[in-house]
Amino acid sequence: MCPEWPLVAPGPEPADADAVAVVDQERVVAASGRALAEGVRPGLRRREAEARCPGLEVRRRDEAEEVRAFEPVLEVLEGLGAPVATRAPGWAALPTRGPARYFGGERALVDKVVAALDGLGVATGRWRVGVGDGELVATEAARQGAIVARGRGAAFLAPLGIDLVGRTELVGVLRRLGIDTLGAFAALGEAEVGARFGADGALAHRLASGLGDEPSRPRPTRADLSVRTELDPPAADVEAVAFVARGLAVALAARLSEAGLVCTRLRVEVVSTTGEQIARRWSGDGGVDPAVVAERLRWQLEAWTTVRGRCGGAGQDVGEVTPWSGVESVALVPEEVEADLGRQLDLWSRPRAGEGQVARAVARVQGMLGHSSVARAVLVGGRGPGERVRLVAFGDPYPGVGATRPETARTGGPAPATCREGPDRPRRGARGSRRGAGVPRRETRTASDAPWPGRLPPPNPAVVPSAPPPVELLDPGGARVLVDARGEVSAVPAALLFEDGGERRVTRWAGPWPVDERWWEGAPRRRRRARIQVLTAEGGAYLLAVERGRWVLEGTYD
Amino acid sequence: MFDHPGRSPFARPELPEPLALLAGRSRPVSTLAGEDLLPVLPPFAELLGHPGVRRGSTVVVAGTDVPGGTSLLLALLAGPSREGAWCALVGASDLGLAAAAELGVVLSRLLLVPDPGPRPAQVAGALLDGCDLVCVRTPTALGAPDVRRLAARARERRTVLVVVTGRLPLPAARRGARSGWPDAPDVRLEVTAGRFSGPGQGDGRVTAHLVEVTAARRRGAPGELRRWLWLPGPDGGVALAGAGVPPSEAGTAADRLARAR
Repeated sequence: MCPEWPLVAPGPEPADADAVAVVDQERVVAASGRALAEGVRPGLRRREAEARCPGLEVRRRDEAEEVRAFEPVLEVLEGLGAPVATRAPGWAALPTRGPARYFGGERALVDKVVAALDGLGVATGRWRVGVGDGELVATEAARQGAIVARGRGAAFLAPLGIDLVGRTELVGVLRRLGIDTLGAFAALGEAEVGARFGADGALAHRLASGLGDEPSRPRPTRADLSVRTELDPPAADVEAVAFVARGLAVALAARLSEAGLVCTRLRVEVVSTTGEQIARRWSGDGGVDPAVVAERLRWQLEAWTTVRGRCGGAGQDVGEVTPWSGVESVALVPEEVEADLGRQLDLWSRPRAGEGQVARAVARVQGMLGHSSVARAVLVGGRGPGERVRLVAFGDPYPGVGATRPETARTGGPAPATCREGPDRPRRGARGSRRGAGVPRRETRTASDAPWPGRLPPPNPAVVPSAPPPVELLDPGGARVLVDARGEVSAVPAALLFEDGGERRVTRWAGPWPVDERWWEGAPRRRRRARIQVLTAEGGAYLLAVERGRWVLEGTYD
Repeated sequence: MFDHPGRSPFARPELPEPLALLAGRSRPVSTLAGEDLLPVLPPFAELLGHPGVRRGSTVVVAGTDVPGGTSLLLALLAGPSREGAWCALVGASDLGLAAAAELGVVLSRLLLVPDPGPRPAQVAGALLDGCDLVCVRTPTALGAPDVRRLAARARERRTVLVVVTGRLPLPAARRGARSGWPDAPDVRLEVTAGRFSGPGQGDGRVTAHLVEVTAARRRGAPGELRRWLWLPGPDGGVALAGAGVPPSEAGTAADRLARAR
C-alpha cells in the first residue's frame, strides 16, 4: 500500500521538504513529509491544516487520476501470479500462500514486491508492504513494514488505537466507554458486541480480534448472479463502455437486493476484440457498491487504453501486449456475497434518508424504467422558463454541488429584475405608472446568476409544458394579436383561445418583451420571439410566446 | 392517574400563586412527536397545526379551478428540502423547476420521475423506501387500492406521501382527470381563492400571487382553516398575508396605480 497515493499519483511528486496536502471535501486525505511534521494529519479540516502549517499548498483530490495511475501498479502485482484485489487506489492485496512458497518465504516475497514496485518509477520509496491475516492486520503490518505470523494478528493489533476499525460512530461510542485500543475491544465477548452493535459491530470486533473477516467469508456465490453484455459492434470509446457498465451495475444491484445479498468482492471483466481478457477485483468489508465500481471502471479503461496505445506504438519491452482495439464484452461477476443484514434504525427518530438509501431506491426505479428515468434538475442559463432547466440522470455527475447551492442563491430575495433595460431592447417612452412597486431595477450580478438580457424575472410559472401547446391571442375584433418589429402589439389582447376550444377573456396583460437570440448566426438558427403575460377573467395567469406570428402557451402560473 | 385527589400535589387550590401562574401557562410538550416531524415553511406550520409535517402521514394537495395548487405543492416541499430532506416527484413532466427553485426547493435533493410508465404506484412505492417525502402527481389518476397501499407503505416507512388530486392544469385538465380520495388523508390542502398582482394594461409584470389556502385536518382542530398566503410575495418569499385582508379589496400598490389611471 501507499498511504500517500492521493499525493503522489496525480502529481508532481512533492519532496519531503514541501508542505503539500491533498484535500477532499474540505478534509485532508494525505500530507507530505513537512506537513506531517507540522501536525497536519489525514482527517483534519482544511482550515485547521492551514492554520497548523502556514504556507501549506492545498491540492484538490483527483480520484480519476489516482485510479489511472494505479493501474500499472496492479499489472505489476498481477505479474507475480496471484489474484490481486483492490479496494481503493493506492491499496492492493494478494494472497501470500502460493507466491511465498514459490519465491521461498514471505520475506523473499515482500522483497520481490518492493523491488517490482520500485522498478515502476512511481512513488519510489513510498511503498509499504506487509503480511498478515486478513485485511486489517495486513494493512497495519504494511504501515509498520512488518510480517505478522499466522495467528499472531490479535497480539499485533492489541496495542493499536481503536480508530483503525474505521467506523466513526462505533469508535466514538467505544471511546466514551473507555475502550481505546483494539485489544480492549477484542477482549469483549463477541456475542455481547453483536447484541449491542449489530452485525456491523460484530464484523468490526472480528477485525479487531485479528480474525480477518473469515467467519463471513469466503462464501462463493451459489447461484450465478453475474451480469454480462456483448457489445456489437465493439466499442472503442471508453465512454460507451462506461455507460454499459453503469447499466450492468444497476442490474446487478437489483439482482443482489432481490436475493437479499451484498457483494463483498466483485470482479470486473472486460474482453477486448483481440480476445484479451482483463479482469479486476474490488473488495470491501461492508459490501461493494457496483455503481462505484462502474464509475471507477471508466478510469481504469482510460488507463488501459493509454498503456496499450503507448506499448503498441513504441514497442517497449513490456512483453507481448496487443494494441488496444475495442471492447467486445463487459461483465460484472460477484465473487463473494453475504447476506444483507441491513442496519438497525434508531428507536425514536429515523435518520434522514442518506445518499445510500436514496441511491438504492433510485436504482430500483431505474431498474424498472431505465437509467435516465430518474433525474435531478440543474438551473442553467436561458431566457424562457423551460430553457433554464437541464435534467441530469441520477448517478451521473451532478454539477455544482457545494459551489452554487440553490438555497444560498435564494435567501435574501434579491430585488426582482426585469429585462427592460437589457441591450436587446430600447426603452419605450417612460410612463408614469411604471413608478410604482413594479419599477424595474437592474439585477445585481452574482456568480451563480449570470445576466441573460431578456430573461423573465421571478416568479416563474409553476407549470411549464415540455412541448408548449399552440394558443390564439385575439383582439376585440377577433383578429390575431401580433407583435411588430419594434416590440409593440398590433392591438390590445382581449381573448385567449386554447387548443381544445376553451376561451378565456383577457382582463389584464403585460409585455410584450421581445427577445432576439442568435441574430449573429443567420436565418435558420436565429430566433425572434416576444413574450407576454395575460390574466384572464377566471383568475388564471399565463405566459405566452409568439414566434413567426404563432402563439404558444409557455407556462401557467399555477 | 391520581386516585387520591386530596393528597395530590398537583391539586390547584393549594398551589402558591406563582406556581399556579406557571401551571396555567404550561402546555403539553411532546418531544417525541417533535422528532418525528419534517420541518415546513412557517405558513404551513399554522395550516398543519404542527411545526412540521408528521412522518408517515399522507397529505393531499387538491386541485381546484383556482390556480395556485402547483405552487402550493412546491412551497410545501421547500421546507423539508431546505432542511436536508430528499424529496421525490413522480409524474411531473410539466413542472416549472425554475419556479420550484425560487420557492425554495433544493433541486439537488429533488428526484424527478417525469414519466413513471404504466405503473406509477410501483415507482412511488420504491421511492417511499428511500426518500423523506414522495409526491405523486400523475395525469392518469391512481386507483383507490393503489393510494391505500401507498399510504400504508408511507406509514410503515415513516415517509411523507403527498398526493395531488383533482383538476390538473392544462393539458391534463382536458382529459377530465379527477381522482377521488377514498380515505380521509391526514391533511388536505386546497387553494380556494387567489389573485395575481402586477400586470395592468400592457405594463407591469406578474410580481406576486396571493392565495387563500383551506386546510382540513383529520386530527387536532376540527373543521377547516383558511389562511391567505403569498405564493410567492412581491419579495419572492412564501409568507402569511396580513390578518384576513381580502386582497381584492386592499390591492397592492401597483394595482392601485393601475386603477387610478
